[in-house]
Amino acid sequence: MADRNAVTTAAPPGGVATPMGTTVWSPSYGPMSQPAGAAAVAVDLHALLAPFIAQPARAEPPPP
Amino acid sequence: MRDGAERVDLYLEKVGLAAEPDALVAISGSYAAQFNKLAGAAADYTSDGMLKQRGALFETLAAKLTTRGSALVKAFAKARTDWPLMRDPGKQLLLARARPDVLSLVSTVAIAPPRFGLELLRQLLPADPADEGDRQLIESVGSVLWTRREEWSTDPKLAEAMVAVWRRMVAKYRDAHFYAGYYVVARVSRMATAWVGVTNTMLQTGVLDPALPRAVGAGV
Repeated sequence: MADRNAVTTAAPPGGVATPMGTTVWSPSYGPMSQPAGAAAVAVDLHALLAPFIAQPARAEPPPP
Repeated sequence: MRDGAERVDLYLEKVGLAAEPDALVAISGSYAAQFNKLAGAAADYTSDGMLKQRGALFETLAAKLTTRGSALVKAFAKARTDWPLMRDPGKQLLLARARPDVLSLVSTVAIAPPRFGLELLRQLLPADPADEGDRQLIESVGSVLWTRREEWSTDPKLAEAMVAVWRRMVAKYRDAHFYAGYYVVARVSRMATAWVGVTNTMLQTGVLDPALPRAVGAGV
């Protein structure tokens, strides 16, 4: 009786090159990537506005 | 409360902060055109050349956003100064040399049974909404009652009456400026968060995500 759980893989047709792995387009590498300078400026801008983003202790009026 | 928020909104509109989302969208549009032009001429560049060209474009964009950010920080700081957090009425003793009567009444309320303070506060509060009343005296009496809340809060009936009069006082003296002081902090925080989010996207991709203008309230 055949084993129903046995894993079988179809053999590739002879003579055809099979690409290995997956091609990934990386946004952080290559000619269309984000320059390091721009990333640094984003961090600077965040630091610049941080005092206004952090809510002070009295962020809402006390209950009446 | 709504009046205070409306005043702050009007102020932000007057100083030009309300137009900031539209300005960012305009910058994004201008740079999108430049990035598209560069992408159209991609065949003329090597990989390194394209990286250099894009880097230069990103640099001008970053410089422009930094300038806007510095101006924005100044405007935010000024908005907070122009709408400072006000005193919460009834929480501070307002004693002055010029008002010895306040001191004497406050001294009496401090040692008399809490019911006396309650009645005094009730009688001092003017029924006419247009009448300001003796604010210094009323707030001082209220603050003494506030410091003695451990005593009166154990009696439910007394506490209920006290809270009712207290709320009348608070409703009378918490004006638009009081709520505006809190609203401007929350509003500026939301604007700053949105601004940083938008500029982060622009510095990563060069242009705005099409969903973002609506999220930051731009009129497009």
